[in-house]
Amino acid sequence: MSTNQHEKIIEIMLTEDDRREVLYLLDSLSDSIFNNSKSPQEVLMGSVRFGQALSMSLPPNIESQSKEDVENKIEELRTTIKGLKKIVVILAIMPTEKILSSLRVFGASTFPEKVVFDLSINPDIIGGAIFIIDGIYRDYSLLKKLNEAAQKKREALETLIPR
Amino acid sequence: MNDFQQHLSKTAEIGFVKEVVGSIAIVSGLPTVRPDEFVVFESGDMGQVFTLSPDVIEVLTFSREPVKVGTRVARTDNLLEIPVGEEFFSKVIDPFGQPFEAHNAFKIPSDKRSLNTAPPGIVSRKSINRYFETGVPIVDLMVPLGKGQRQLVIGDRKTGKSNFLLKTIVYAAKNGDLCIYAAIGKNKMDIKKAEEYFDKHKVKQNIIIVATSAEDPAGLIYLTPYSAMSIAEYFRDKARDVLIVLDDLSTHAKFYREISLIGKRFPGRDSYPGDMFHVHARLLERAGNFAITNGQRPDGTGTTAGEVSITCLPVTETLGGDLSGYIQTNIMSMTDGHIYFDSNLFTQGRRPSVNPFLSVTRVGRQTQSDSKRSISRELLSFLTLFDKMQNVVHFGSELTENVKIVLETGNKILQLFDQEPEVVVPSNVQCVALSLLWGDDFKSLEIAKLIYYKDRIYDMYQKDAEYKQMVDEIVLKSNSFNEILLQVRQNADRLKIDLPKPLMPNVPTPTTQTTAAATQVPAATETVSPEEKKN
Repeated sequence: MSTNQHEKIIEIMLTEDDRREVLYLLDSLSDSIFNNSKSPQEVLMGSVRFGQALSMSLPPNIESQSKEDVENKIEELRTTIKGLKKIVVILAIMPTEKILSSLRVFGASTFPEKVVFDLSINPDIIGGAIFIIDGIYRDYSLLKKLNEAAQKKREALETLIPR
Repeated sequence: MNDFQQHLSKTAEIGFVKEVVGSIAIVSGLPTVRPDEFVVFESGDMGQVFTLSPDVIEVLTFSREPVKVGTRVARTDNLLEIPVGEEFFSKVIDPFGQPFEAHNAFKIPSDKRSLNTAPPGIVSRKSINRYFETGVPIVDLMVPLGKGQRQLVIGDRKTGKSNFLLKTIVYAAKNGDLCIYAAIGKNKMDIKKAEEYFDKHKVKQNIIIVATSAEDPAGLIYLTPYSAMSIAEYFRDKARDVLIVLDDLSTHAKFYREISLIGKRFPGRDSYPGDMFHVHARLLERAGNFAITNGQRPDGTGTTAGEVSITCLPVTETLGGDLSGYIQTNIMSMTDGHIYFDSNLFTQGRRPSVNPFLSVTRVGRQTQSDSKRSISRELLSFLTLFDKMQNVVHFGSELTENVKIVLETGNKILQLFDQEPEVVVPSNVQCVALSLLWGDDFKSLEIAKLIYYKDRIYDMYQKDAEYKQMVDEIVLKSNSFNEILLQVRQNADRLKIDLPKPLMPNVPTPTTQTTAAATQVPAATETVSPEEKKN
């Protein structure tokens, strides 16, 4: 299956936590194929957010397919999801829905491929965000702005002090 | 923490520690980091980029405690630099210029210098033509050194190498040279003993000790000789002659091997990495004799304007006298000679246990005066003969009178070369003492008396400036061994040497012809009959 066929599940994923949850779901699905304690449909229905989208990425009748074929397709999906680029975002507050949708738009408009955001909270930055993309560090926090302003004031005051 | 944030803001690149293996931290991120670049960890620790891979970089850390996984790393956009300055004199510092012991804090200099600089090219170098005296006569006369020479000191453990080095440093410091002693992975007790030795001889103000102990991280031990060499280059650029001792490079090689194996570099001979030669060569090539462009010395010292030197004495240890080891042969090939400390001579009681036959000096002889070169030649040929005679004696055959003379004279010469651990003997004093022995003046004297005369000459040489000048003039103005002998005989009264009658000096002032014809003392080889030569 190509990435387009996985589009739905990938489109829904936004954060690193989402990726982790989907990968866990795939592991459970893989277990259910070879283990008769739970059926694949039951596993998919167990996840409210990703179950339906994941079922669209898989062949229609999993039970009628050969186990090896289904396992291969799950593995393909797993590889695709693991290969998604990660962007670390450090926020000052817990992200609201508005912030998350802004991130989604930002990711879609800035990067040609799908990205997932690794969100963490650091109240010390006061506001704004810090982005880390492939080792590039971009600090757009309020703390940095305040520090820069304070530094400028400090330098201006130092010029006034007679030596 | 402030440093980390500052560098992070400046370079706008960040990395994360993924894995830690010994001294090496595997870091992801830092997309434009350069090889050997200096990086800073969030915890305040420092590191140097060791290997670049497509996905990760390997950073050599310098902290005792291993860095934690997940620690953030920032680039500094600089190569590793250390502070350098006059403030380091009489101090014991670590490779980063910080006090070796925390309680001995001092002001850190503000000047900085990179740890890895390219060695100067050929154009800025000059031939080695200034004599470097060690205060150890067997070396000064038979394995002479020049200022700017790189001379390897090699031998088994506990053969007197460190004692020789400390004596050389003290003598050089007393003569106005700056000295840097790099103690690489040594015991703290040995470092302390060296410091106390310099303090006792009141030369500490001219000496810097760059030290790492055996319990320091491998990365820090690896940096020690480079740090010492950077400090030496700083003072070289201030037109000061520097002596640098690297004790010892075989330990340095072992720690670099440990780092390389942890960094999964392919092991070569004896499990050393393939760039082992380069690690030492790029260090030793930074020593030498260099031209000063402005021809001036700020302190007015030195006999030759226009040049300044870094004399380097690297040390390696051998196992069981094996000179063909990997590190040993590497360093032999990149130095201008070696002084071999023989464990057999050490067990025979010779101190220092320098083996002049197995020692080599490639550029030292050109710095010697004519008289010293003559002495060196005579001594070497005589001692070669003496060595062969000793083998003959083992057979227990009856000895002729000439053989007995050779053996006795040889023993006296060797005993004259013996030195107490803390005694340094200027080579001019030794020349005078040897000339007396050579000229048969004191043939019948016991060795104890000979040593008494030598000590007396040395004592007066140290205390009386006029006496010193006289001895120096005798040696400097003579062109050969025989001329020294003649001058000594003529000035026996002034030198306060009691010559036995009838050899009291009543000899006309020598000309070149009389020196050659009338006052020629037969060379040692001529005292031996052809039969003895055959044997």
